[in-house]
Amino acid sequence: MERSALARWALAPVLVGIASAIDLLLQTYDIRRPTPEVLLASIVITAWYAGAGPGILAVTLAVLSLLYFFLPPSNSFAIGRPDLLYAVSYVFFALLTDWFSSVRRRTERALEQARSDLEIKVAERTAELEGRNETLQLEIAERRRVEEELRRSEAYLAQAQRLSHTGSWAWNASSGQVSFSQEALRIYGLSSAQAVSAPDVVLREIFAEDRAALESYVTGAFRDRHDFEIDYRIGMRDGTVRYLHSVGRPVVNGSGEVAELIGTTMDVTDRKLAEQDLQEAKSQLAHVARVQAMGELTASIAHEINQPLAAVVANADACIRLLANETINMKELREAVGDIAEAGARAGDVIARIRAFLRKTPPAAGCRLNLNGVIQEVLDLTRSEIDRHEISVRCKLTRRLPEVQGDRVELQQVILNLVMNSVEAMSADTGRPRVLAIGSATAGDGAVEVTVSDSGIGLPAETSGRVFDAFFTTKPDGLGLGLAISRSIIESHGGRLWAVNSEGKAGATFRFTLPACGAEAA
Amino acid sequence: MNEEAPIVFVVDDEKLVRRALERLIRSAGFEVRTFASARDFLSAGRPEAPACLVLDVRLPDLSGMDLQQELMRAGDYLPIVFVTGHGDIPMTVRAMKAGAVEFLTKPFRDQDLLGAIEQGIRSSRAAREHRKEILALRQCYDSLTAREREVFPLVTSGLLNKQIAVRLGTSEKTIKVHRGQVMHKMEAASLADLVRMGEKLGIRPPISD
Repeated sequence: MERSALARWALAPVLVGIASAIDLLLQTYDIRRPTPEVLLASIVITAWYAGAGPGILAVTLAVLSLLYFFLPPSNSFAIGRPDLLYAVSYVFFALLTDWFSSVRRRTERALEQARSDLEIKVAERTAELEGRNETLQLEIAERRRVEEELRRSEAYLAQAQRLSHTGSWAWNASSGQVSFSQEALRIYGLSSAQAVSAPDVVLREIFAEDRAALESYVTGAFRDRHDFEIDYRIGMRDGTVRYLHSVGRPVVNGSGEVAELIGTTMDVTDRKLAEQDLQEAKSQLAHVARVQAMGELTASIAHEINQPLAAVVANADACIRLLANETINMKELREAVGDIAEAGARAGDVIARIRAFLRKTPPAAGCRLNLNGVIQEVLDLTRSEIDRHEISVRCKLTRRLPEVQGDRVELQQVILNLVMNSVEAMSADTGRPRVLAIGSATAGDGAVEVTVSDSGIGLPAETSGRVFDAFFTTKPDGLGLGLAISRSIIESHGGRLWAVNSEGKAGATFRFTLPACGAEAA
Repeated sequence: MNEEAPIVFVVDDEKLVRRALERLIRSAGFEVRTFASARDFLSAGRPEAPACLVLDVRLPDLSGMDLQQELMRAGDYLPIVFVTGHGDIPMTVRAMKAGAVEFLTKPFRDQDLLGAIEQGIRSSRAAREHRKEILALRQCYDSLTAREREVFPLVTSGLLNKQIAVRLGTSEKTIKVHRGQVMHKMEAASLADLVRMGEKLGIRPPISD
């Protein structure tokens, strides 16, 4: 610790004074010859404790004290010749002592300082090390946590991939190799050893007609940096077929090149099969409904077929009679045979029309068709049924109706259902004229609208909300499927089917819209 | 009278069927007239001749059954042969009860149709003769005096001249003259003949005491 400067400088006169006093006492009681050793001691002590500066002061004071008190003549600073040398040597030794002592002191001090510095440094270093250690511990813990999390997240990912049947893969541009996730390996039927493989191990198993598309997508993604999405099928080693859905995205590196293609592959086989089953069930149901609708038309159909048959038989019988005559009327015969041919063809047409209607069609992609034509076909088919019920038809078809995309047979069924329902609704005698109005029109936003309305009893308020429900029927022998199936057909064509009571007059109106082709193509 | 040529009417909305039926029926030697609807048939005039109607059940506007009702209501006895593309039992029963000759389901053979037509024409002819006979009787009856018309039912009810004279408060001789006049004017060959005529004319004897 640092003594105050005043104390240090005061030490010199005090010690020299004390030493002088001791020496004077020793001299007074004549214990011994006056010697300056005690003074020297005071210099040593001063220099030791207070440093070189105060040491020099002590030396000066000690020399003055020596000259004044102890060298003859006493009590005077004068000095005799013999003592001069002594005084000089004393001064020299005193200075030497002071120097030595102060040097020693400085060294000691420096040492002490160095030691304390060292201690501080050691303490600091220790603290620092401890800090480091702690950080390291934390880091280790953090890393462990992160690793754990990573492991867990990887496990989750693998789990999620497994659950969702979605594998991931990365197709490296430079190596041309593809790395597959566990689930991707499972989906493609690869072993763990094939986790990184040439894409060919997968490509060669893909159905040929799908492979070309997939390859062109991949090339396109590398070249044009497009994302892609594709459905394709793959033949497994056990002979089964998997339906896959892949999404890919090019990853661009710093230099702007596609470094890799990353993507996912989802196994949608179950969904596809379920969809197919559903489609199948739907088409079967639709078929049943069609057969039922046809059943309701049986009387009309029998009539339509028996009409030409009657003409055939009657003409043939007439021919037999004409041929039995003595003079044969060739003109009459020719006409009769011509009528037979015509009637036969007519019967064939009727059968073909019914067969086309009852055909169990797979849910094939539809083609472009004009609804006016479909309406006309249904009216042809139901003409005699409509006549039988003494219903007059008001047909208002818009010319140049935009075409729609759809399945002709299915749309025929919808219109047939609506027409037959209307006919049925008017079978009860209400005393009003029986009018079936059917029309086509272009609706807003590029849709085509078909309206079928009757002058029957209309929809009772309590059931109007339910007429589209499956198995809801007001007919004693109805299945309650006609309208439900009609609606599902229209909705699967992207349209809408609804019912209202006709405005301002008796009867119900059924209306459906379908998107026109032009609107879709845009 | 019997040499009147019978006519067959055909009502069917189907042109091919109409032509075929016309051809077939004509080949059997009948005169044929065809119509596309019941209304056309009704509005066309009908010549005086034994006739038969070949009628399709299902027709636009007025159906075959409705036409049958219409003819019955008008007291027009015309034998009908129904033909239908799809007949059911209730329909057949209804048509037959209403007096149809036959109910044929298309397609049918010629003998079935022609047989039915012949039967229809026969009954048409019979009906016409019956009507003619009634007409002639009615003419004779109309020529009777009021007193003779009083005597007529009493005679046919089997009373003796004497009984009739008491009933009418006159002499037996006078009644004998009246009876002779009635027999003569009605061209009756015998009492039995006169009784039959009375039945045909619907002349009932007055309620006896």
